[in-house]
Amino acid sequence: MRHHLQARTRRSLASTVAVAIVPLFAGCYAENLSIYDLEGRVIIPREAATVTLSVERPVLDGNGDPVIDPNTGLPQTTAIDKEVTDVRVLGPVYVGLYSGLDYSTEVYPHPSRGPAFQLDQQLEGDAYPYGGTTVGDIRFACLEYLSCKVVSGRFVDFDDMVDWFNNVLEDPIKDAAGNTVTNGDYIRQTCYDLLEVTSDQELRLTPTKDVDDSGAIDAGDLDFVENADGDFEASFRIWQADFYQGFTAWAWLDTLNPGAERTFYTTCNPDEGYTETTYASNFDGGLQYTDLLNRPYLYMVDGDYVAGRGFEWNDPYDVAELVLDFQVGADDVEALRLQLESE
Amino acid sequence: MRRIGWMGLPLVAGGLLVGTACDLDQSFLFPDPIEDVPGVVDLGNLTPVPLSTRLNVQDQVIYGELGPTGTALTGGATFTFDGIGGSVCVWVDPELAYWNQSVSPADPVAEWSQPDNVFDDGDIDLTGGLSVYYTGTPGVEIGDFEVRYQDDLGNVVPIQLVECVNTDEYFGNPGAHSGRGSPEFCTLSNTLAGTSYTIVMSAWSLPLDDDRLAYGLLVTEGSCEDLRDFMGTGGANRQGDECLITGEAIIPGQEQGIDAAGLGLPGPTWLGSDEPDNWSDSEAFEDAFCSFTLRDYCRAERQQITRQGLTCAWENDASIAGNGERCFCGDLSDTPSGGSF
Repeated sequence: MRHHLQARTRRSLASTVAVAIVPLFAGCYAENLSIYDLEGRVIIPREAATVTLSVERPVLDGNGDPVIDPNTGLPQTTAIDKEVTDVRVLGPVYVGLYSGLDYSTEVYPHPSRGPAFQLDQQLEGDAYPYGGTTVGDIRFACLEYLSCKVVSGRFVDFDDMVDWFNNVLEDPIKDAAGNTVTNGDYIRQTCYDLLEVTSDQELRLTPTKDVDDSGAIDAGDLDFVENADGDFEASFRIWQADFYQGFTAWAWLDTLNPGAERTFYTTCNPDEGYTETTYASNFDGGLQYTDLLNRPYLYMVDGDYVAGRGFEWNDPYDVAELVLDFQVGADDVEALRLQLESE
Repeated sequence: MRRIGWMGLPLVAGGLLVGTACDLDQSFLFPDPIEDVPGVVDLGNLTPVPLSTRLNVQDQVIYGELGPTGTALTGGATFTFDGIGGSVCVWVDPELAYWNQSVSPADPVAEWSQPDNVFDDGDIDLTGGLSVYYTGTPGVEIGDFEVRYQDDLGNVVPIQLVECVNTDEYFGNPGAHSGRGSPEFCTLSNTLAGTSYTIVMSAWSLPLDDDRLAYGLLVTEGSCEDLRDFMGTGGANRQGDECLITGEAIIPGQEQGIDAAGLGLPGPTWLGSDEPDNWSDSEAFEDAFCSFTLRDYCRAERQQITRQGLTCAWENDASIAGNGERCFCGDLSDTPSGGSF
């Protein structure tokens, strides 16, 4: 009996020591890695989400009937401008981490660049980003017609997509046979077939999480949500970024280019991405270029928006705020530079 | 005699381990150097050839050989040229020609349905830039063009300041290499007049049959597109690139060419005007590759070998092993079945 008790005591003591030692060792080991999930917000002014569309309207006579062109026998049309402010106007936003910003080499603020070489490639230097992310990606929406025209996180559901193209842009979605697509489920089912997936989560075209806890998947679950000022705001997270004190976050928006033949966005390469090569259907689904953070200048066009000020990241737990308030081709970078110097 | 106690065994085992771990010389894994065939060589300062006549350009092709370094270090050839204020094309063609055999059961490509002799091909990777950035030692060690750029934060970003950029034919992406037996070329645009450029021909792999990698090299004024058009290999038929330089399958052991020596090139080198001997039929083989008649060529080669009662020596150089004939097409019995790896 005594022997039995001694054995129990020894076991108990060993367990106590083991329990005490494990946290001791765990606490002693620190990798000292400077890797963090960096978080921030992107704010896009309302005017950046506003586009003026040129749409055709039938010419009506005094009785409200369409006027027929005597030469063609078809109803006459006239182009009118239609202004649209909508979250669906917003293209992808590219967020990068850079060593600094430069206000002298381009007509807009641009990340500092390294030396220019490889002249035969028409390259002017790489910005050598430390990392980055996007708010919304160009994604293949499973119809050739939609290649390079759909950005993730902008459409509540597939019907919303149909509404945008058919009713707002008045540029109806066509299927492979050239027929107008009027039903969002047709797009979803085409995606399931082509991409061999079984859920919207796998497609990552539309939101599938009730981010705002409203009880439904709605506009509040998109990447960008209209704020109290009427601007559009999104949060971003750069996962597992190597943190370098003092580096600068900067972002730019690829704006919608409605009516373009092959792509609505200059950052989309229409000759890459998903490839369809079935019997009567041969096309590429489109894919973002691979050096958008390294060389934004290659893809920036008038009308795009960039952050006029970068966010200098000094503490990894800071929350960055980037306001894309500088319109390329419209705003004056020199005036901005002088303003920043005076502040 | 004292016996080693049980406590001594770990000491012995540890000593063995330490002793073994210190032996880091793995050079036995690499082929020995070959006398008179350099592993690393510097060809000196070359002058870009003007595109005057085709014959003149063909006469200016530099043929040479590269061998093993005997170590884990990559070998190769380097040379410099002075910028001319315009574009310069560098074109190198390693021996000989290579293709993947078409084994698709549903849609075989007749042109590639015969196997290649994979033992007689080598691979040269081309790169180049301003000599001031070159990190290697000409004739001693192959280097690169890496500089340590400091960004605005003072952090170092290693950059390869490469001006000789190969672009892949399929996607148009820069920085590609063309692979075994295939020519590589690059245009250095708007070279700075009088400024020295260094070109590196890195011997990525030597032919398995004899460890001697023969090559043909052209350095010309103008772009490589200009050169293609001039030599008649331009247009959509990129297969023709293989035939812009022909005859690079040099027979080993020849005296250095007189014209090459006159130009100050180190041996073993020859100019096209020296007309070095190449393996019999190798140029016909290249022609077949470029003119899409490989299937007929390979069938004829096999029939001829069979008719003469000979065998092909693929894995060993026929001239060394003496156990067969040099065949440019591969072993038909080694053909994988359709759909297999």
